Amino acid sequence: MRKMMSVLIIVCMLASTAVLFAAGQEEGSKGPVELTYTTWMTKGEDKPWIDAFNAANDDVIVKMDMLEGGKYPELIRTRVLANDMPDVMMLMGNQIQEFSREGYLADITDTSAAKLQSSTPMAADYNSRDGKVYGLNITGGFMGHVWYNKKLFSDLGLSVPETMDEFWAVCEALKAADKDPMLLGGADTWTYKMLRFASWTTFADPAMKATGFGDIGEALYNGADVAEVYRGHAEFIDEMVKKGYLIQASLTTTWPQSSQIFVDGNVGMFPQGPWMATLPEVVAADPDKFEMGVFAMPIENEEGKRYVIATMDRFMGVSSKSDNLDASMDFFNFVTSDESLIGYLEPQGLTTLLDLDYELPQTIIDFKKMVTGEKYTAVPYVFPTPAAWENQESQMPKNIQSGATVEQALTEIKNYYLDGKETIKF
Amino acid sequence: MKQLLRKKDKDYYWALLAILPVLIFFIFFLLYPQIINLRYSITNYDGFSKDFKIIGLSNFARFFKGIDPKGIVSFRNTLTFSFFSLLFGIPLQMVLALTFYNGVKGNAFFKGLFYVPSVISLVIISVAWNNILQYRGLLNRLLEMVELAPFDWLGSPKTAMGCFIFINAWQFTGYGTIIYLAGLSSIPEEILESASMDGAVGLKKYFYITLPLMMHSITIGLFMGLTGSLQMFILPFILTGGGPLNSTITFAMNIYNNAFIMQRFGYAAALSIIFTLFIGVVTIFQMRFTRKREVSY
Repeated sequence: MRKMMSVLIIVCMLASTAVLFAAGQEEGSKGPVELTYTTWMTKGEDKPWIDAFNAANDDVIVKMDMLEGGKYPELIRTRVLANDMPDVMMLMGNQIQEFSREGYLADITDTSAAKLQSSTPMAADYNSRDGKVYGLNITGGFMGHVWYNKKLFSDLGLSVPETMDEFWAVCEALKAADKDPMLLGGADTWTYKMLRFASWTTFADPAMKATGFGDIGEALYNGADVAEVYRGHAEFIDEMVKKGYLIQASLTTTWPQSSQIFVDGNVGMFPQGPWMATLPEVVAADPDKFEMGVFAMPIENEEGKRYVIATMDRFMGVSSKSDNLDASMDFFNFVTSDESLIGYLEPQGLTTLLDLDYELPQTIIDFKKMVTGEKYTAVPYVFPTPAAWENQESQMPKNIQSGATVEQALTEIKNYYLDGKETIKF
Repeated sequence: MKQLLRKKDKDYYWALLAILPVLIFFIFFLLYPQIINLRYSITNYDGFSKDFKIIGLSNFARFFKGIDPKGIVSFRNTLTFSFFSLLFGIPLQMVLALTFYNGVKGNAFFKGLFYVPSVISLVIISVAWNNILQYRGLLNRLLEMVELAPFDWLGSPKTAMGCFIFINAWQFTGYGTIIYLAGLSSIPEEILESASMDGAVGLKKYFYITLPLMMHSITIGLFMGLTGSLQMFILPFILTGGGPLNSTITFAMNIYNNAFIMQRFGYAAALSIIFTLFIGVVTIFQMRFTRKREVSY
């Protein structure tokens, strides 16, 4: 009896082990095809795409996975390693390079999206490899927006600064009025990038010129002195921190918290991307406390020149490893049709390099006018630098705000770059 | 004799059959990945490209030669975190265990209260504490209410690690308390009574009678605390990202960063092997130390 019980228990345990293995291997069930789409738009910005496609297709269901933006590259990479790659993905610039190089992206050369992109050489080149197209650049344009609270400025008798002296005066006036001059959602480290975009290029120009390369990433890769490329920006951050203009709360406030604090009316300036223009909290803000305006940082180099970054932000690709490649391509073609792209870009107030005609929010139009005027020169930042570099670029100002000296911060970023350079592949 | 031997063989095979499922699990989910990991540790695999080659022990040399910008600092942070977590955590757990052992009003309620944090996901704990400790968080608001200046608990390199040590001690106090309480409860009353009759009271009784008799619980509690604290990852990953100024980056975080951000998967594999061996050595010494001091009756 005891032996029979033992046999029964052992058989059950073996059977359950076998079932566990089998569960992992289970292939396609009956019913609609299921696709996975991943994005870092955690406020549901991509949901209208998904809903529209699902409504129009009975035989395919797209499920959206929203992953944290700051960790998006490594989260996708772990899924690739685990053989759990999404079918269609929003991607960051360097991911397009990496994924297409390793054969993880499907060829989309013959799609209407690729044809649309072909009229923008910068985007077309970036998304191509060996004559084939592997990704679509969706958003791009100028970066470096410094959003400000028009209502607060008006209450304090302040105007948009046109010079750095005026900028410092605005910061001091806000601080004197017991308002926070500038806030970042620095717990999400990527938000420091927005302040860097607003201020960096002009500072970096001399060091870049020494290499002869016009793209910052390319200049860094080809020998630009890392410390000198970042020095001006580091000194700017140091001054902002020491004078209390970039408030201490920036270090531990998250991005969602920071945007809400900004629209609640106690923060003067908020460097962020163009997506600010149509954020729900901005739209719903109390007009007695908040009205949003935008300006470009009036930082000039010794020659009186000002620079602004032009870059590409969101990309989309289809996994070549998808179990349902045809359905994935159908979804890709659906969301990248002209009509669908406009339906995506316009409500969010996003700019694109694609030849699409739609309305932009007035603030975005104002910023574009500012930086395409005579005062500013656009500098491309599209060279595929590794995610590790980008991570450290945003960490550097955070280190200064945490107490590092400018030299300590520059030494760390320089060592990091030189150490990480060997990991770059093309 | 032959019959006796045959019976012994039969028992052996039945025992083998009984552990077969667990053995399969161990081989496929623990041993095999370790072998694969060992293979990657001697390559320049970036975690992505199919194009990689064997580079010998270069990855191990990278750590021991201090080439990794965050190698030594992450190791030091890990030791600091572990040391202070145990230094504050274990005495606290013992005091609570003694308190519960001696009986206190609402014993069951307080036991549950202290134990609950240890069953909550560390991710949820991290998010909750972030809302308390961030500059505009609950703690600073309370300080401002009593007219004290706010402090950047997570943004200052002087206090960020201290916050983690506190959170870790808070979360696992109940867990350790239960282990030590079980140890106390296993000591026969007669031994403690006779010790009292012989004049052993207070701290003397605790250190010379109680502690040695519950040393087996300390072996377990210390082992769990040591291995858990050395592998700390979630708290710094969510709360500070390893900052400020690398003051909270742990060894486990450095492994993760190298594998998935720096694209040095081979090096991360080497780090994980170094770390496994280190934890193994430390726990061997720990168990030898505590087991020598275990007393049976």
